[in-house]
Amino acid sequence: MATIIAAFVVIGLIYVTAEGRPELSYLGGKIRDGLAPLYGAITSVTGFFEHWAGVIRNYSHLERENAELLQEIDRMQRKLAMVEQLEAENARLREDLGFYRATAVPPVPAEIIARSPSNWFDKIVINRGTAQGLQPGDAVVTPAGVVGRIYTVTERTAEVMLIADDRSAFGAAVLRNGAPVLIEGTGKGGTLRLKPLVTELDIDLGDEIITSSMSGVFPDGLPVGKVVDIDRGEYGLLLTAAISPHVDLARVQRVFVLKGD
Amino acid sequence: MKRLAIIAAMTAAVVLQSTICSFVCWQGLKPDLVTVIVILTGLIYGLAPGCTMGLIGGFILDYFTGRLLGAGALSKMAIGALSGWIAPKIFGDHFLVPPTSVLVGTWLEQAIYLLLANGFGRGLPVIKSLWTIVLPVGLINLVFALPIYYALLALERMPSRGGTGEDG
Repeated sequence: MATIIAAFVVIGLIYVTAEGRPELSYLGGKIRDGLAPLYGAITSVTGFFEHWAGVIRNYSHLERENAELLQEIDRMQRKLAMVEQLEAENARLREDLGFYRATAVPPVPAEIIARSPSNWFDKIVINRGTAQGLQPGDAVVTPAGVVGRIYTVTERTAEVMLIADDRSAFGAAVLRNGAPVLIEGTGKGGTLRLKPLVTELDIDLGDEIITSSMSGVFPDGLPVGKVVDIDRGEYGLLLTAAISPHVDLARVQRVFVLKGD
Repeated sequence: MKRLAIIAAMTAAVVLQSTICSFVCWQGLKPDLVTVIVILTGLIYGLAPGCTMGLIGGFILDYFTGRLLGAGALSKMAIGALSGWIAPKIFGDHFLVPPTSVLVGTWLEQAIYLLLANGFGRGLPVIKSLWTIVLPVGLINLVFALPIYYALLALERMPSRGGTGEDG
């Protein structure tokens, strides 16, 4: 009898719970609300253990992956450095090529292999000589401006006297008005000295100075430098100006030699 | 043997001054390592070796410079001799002695060179050159004084082939 009653109760329960109920009973709601913190706590603890179990399970995998990623970063950084280096080299070669095409006679490219070991002389030694047709007096330049001229030459090397050498002097002109001037080296210090070759020279700070073929040393129109200081002397009679050369003579590494006739 | 080693070191110094030193120069100036070696040789070995090494080192530098051959030899010989002569009078084990000697010695050597160069018609502005070359080169050389001093000292203390350590 009890079995029959129990069967009916169960069937009733099945019937009652067969359809979803939009609303909970009062008691059901209170029970669920009361259990909610416990559910949350249990879920949190479970999640914590599950997370660390996963970490422990994946540790060796993560370690391997991390090592691979570090290697990849290292590879990418090296590639990036190489690309930057190639970009710089490409820009420099483009500049050289433009200069090469702009000159009437193809210049001889050269690299500086040594500089004066003494602080008292400004000279450089390049890796081109008579084998490439160079001779004393040939102009040495870069796309940025003049560097100097060949002083002595051997079969494979040439010694270049820089324009900053205190024995260097050549004719030039003020770009703005074509006024002829003399440019002298001053030894150390990085600047050149300008002396006028005409009375009442019209010159201002920032004026560009270019070479003049009248001096017979450099071809016409090569950039020399910029006026950075003007000293008009007593009564304005003895004008001299300081010129900052466009080429960093202390650090230049590649030059072109313009062969003379 | 030790003299040969010092001459080799001075030749290497000239090569360094012509190449690498140009890229690490300060105010367009590079160290004068030959002068440093000459002064310290005089300090360690005495008057005659200092004088001889100054002469040899100066000629090597002059040869590579290609101008005023002998001016550097004379100035360095003088400073090597002075350094060797003064060493027994002042020299102690104090670590400040080598740098001070290099600083003052370089100033003197560079000043002698300047006078010689102008004496042979170079026409350099004396006051400006003292400020822009002589004084800064002394300071640059100061940096190299102690490392080169201890290297030379190690060479001096090395037993020579005969075992006397005095073939200097």
